[in-house]
Amino acid sequence: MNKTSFFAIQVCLILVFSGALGGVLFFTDVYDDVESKIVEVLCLSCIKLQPKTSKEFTFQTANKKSHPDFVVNTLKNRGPILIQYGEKACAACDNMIDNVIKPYFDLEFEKTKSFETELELENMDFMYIYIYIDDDSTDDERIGSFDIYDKDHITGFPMFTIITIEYDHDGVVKPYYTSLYGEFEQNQDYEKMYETFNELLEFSNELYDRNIVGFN
Amino acid sequence: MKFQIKRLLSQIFIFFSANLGAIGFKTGFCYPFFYCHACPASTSACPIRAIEKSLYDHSFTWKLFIYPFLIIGFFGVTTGRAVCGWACPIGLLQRGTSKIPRYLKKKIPSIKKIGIWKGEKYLRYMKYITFIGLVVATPFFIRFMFTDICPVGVLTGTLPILFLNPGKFVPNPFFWIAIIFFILFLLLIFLVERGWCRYFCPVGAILAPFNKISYLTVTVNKDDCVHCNVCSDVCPMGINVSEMYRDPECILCGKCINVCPKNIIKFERAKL
Repeated sequence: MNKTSFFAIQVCLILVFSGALGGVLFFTDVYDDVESKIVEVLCLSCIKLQPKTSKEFTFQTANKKSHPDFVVNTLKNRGPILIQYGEKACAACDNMIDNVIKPYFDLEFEKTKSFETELELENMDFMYIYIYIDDDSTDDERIGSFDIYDKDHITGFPMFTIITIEYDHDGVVKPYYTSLYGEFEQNQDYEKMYETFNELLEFSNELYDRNIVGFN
Repeated sequence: MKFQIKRLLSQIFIFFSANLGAIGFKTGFCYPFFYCHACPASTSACPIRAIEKSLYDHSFTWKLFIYPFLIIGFFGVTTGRAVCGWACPIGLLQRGTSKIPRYLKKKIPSIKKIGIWKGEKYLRYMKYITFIGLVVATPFFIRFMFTDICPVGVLTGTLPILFLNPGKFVPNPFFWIAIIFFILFLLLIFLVERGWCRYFCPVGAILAPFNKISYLTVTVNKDDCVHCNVCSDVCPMGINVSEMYRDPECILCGKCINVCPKNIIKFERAKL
């Protein structure tokens, strides 16, 4: 190949790469996706760590914003809520779905689609809401709720949030929640994880039944 | 040697730029080099994570797949693998450790053999196998990702998170496997100069072929070469510089240019 044609190829390649990169940045949402779904969040199984988080309930949202409408409406009309936040390429998210959510909650679903369903578990009714951040059809309010309930500021997936209602110190009934992260019991003890869910959901149901009358 | 100080300053500057997340500056770009976005101070995303995420579990998200290739490709077609020599923080780390393998090579004959072993050139293909196998194929087919065992992720993500949040995290089952790979990574870079770049870096595997067509390259005037081999001796990538022509392993560090007694090795831009 002579010098001129090689130079022409190099110039073309530089133009192609810079043009394509500019086009992808300008015409698609990939920049925002990478920022919000890779840079600003952690895949807990990818960092090979497990957060040691408390199961304590709290009224205080993690980013001081108010509870989202879909949570408040569900609490008013249906019951306590279990939200699972998941993302793509997250082994812990998949493990929790395959080993806890599907078998113990007797659910079948496509893990790449956000959805919600009412569940009955050992005489407890609650709403299961699955929020998959890489599903483009998931609305922003639901994705934004991740920051609201990231109680321990881990910003990691998977995260499980259990929300009920309780009287606060001012005597007003308000949403009351806790969040668990990753595969939250030692040694991937899935049965124990289910027991923890069960215990927290039972507690949530009790509070809900006791306080629903005062919740406006 | 002024030139190498410039390169060091460039590496240090880019190291700090890659960690502007520490002051809250986060972007939606992918690094054109190997650095973990799980690092508490990271500014951008690891290109490997973006590729894995685009292909995970029999899926294909085209935007996320081509985005890191376009970023790396842009730097690749303009400066070839110079990113490895001038920008990569892991390259900076290996620059810092490079005196140790050089010393060991002089003192221990078996270590000297590593660099001149006949099969060594084939071992360099490991980085392409790592990239295609663990970054593309296994995430797609069996949901196992390079990220799960990434030693650079341990160094720049896992360990800083543990250090900055004492008592807040415990290891998960993959932790100890990743630590073993991290120890092997350390052994490698202490035994072979730029061992990670030579044999295993998957980002290096994407960048390397661009040396064949890049606008900027290192050229040797072979007609005037006296084959003193000073250039090959200083080359951190173990290239036989006097025989080199657009070598995919060249990281354009310019060490050979600095030592050539005949001044016949040069950075060259493409021209008509």
